[in-house]
Amino acid sequence: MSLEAEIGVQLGRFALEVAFRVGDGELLALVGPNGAGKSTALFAVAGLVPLARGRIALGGAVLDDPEAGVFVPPEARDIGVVFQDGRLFPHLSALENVAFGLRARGVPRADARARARGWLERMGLAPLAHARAATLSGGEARKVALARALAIEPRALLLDEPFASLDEDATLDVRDALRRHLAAFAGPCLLVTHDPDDTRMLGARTLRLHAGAACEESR
Amino acid sequence: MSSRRATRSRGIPLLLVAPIAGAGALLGVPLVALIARAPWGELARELSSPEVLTALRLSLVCSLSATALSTLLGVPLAWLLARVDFPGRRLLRALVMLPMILPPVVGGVALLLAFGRRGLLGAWLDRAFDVQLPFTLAGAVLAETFVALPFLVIAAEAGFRQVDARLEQAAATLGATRLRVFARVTLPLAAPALAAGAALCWARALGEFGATITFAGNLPGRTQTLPLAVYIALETHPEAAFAMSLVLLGVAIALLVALRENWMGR
Repeated sequence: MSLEAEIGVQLGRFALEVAFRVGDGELLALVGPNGAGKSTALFAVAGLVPLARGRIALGGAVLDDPEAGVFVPPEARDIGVVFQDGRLFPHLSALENVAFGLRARGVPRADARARARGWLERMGLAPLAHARAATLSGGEARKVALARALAIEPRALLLDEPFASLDEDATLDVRDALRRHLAAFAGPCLLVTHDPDDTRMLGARTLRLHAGAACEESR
Repeated sequence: MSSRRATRSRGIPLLLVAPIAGAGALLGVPLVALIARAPWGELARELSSPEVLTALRLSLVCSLSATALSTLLGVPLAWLLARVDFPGRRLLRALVMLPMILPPVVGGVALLLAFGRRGLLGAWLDRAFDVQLPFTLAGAVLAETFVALPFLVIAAEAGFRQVDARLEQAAATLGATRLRVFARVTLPLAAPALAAGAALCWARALGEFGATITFAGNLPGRTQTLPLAVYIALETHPEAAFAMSLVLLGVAIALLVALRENWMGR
């Protein structure tokens, strides 16, 4: 089920050309300065930014290939995304946020809620199940976002700056949660970060981007 | 102590006092006059006459139907204007807003030419389905919808615009179809704006006069809504006209308060 990506994206004057492969259970970190195209690459894999050139395939199934005229929309990709700012639905509780993807897949309400509750418990957030997403702290929101992405049992997991704008304690807390859950995650995982600490702590292989192109790969 | 406070406490420049007082008088005195002149003692009796009750019932039926129809037709249109970039979007928005500034009587004439028995669509409706809209209750609803729809669309479009599109993206990555994203994310987040739009739309429909009387006529019990009844009663039975006007004023004030308190934030 490896993720194979040859990404060519054109956004106005910004061009991104990068290729990588992430194996099952592997974590690849895209690192680099702001504006290098890390998040754009992640969004292309998620289906939120269409490719201009190249090809993205997951487990052999093509997700995006403009030359072949193939584009699988984000809702049909089965790829979990943890966004930079969490992007929790502010009008829903933590529990409803985590259950959202399951409900979208037709899981009955009670079942979806029970499974969502299980995820919140594993994150140590059970007492906050009924708290409105808008009232959660930064670290809590990030963990709910992680639970929400994992709850759909995605085929691949994408993390866009999962520690951005968290204070030190929250960063350690979220990093710890992430390390535990990534160890149990079987599919390929892509992490976007600008902090070398993150990749070291999580034991990621890194691919450094600069101005829309890969410039260095390291373990 | 702050400079802002100092500026504020310096008061109104003398030159502006007269126009401001004039505006206040123009807006305020008619309201005071209506409230003062209203037959407070006889209010219950005036409002419970069969003619008034019929007009009141008709007004409620028509304005609520027009609001429902506007919501049904206007929400998808507002979503389109807010979320889809297509050629002619500005033109479509201008077309939607036109009834807000078009004289309502012109709207009524245009409706006659479109849906009248020999109108562009009306002739076909008459022939194919034996449906006649002018001078019917359905016609009154149509006229009110024509005039009130823009209020809903404008408010709803603003509401949809203020919903963070990135949340819709997040919902899509979780497997939600576009319809589900709309129903579970966009719509609930835009709900306060939609409610405000529906309230304004209803108020406009309730007060509609020109397009209604032109297209649907003034048939007591069929198309004579409250504003039409007020106009007629002013000649024949002014006390009833005052009482009905007071009701419409009360509704408007209540709505304004509700909009401020519940739907528009600060």
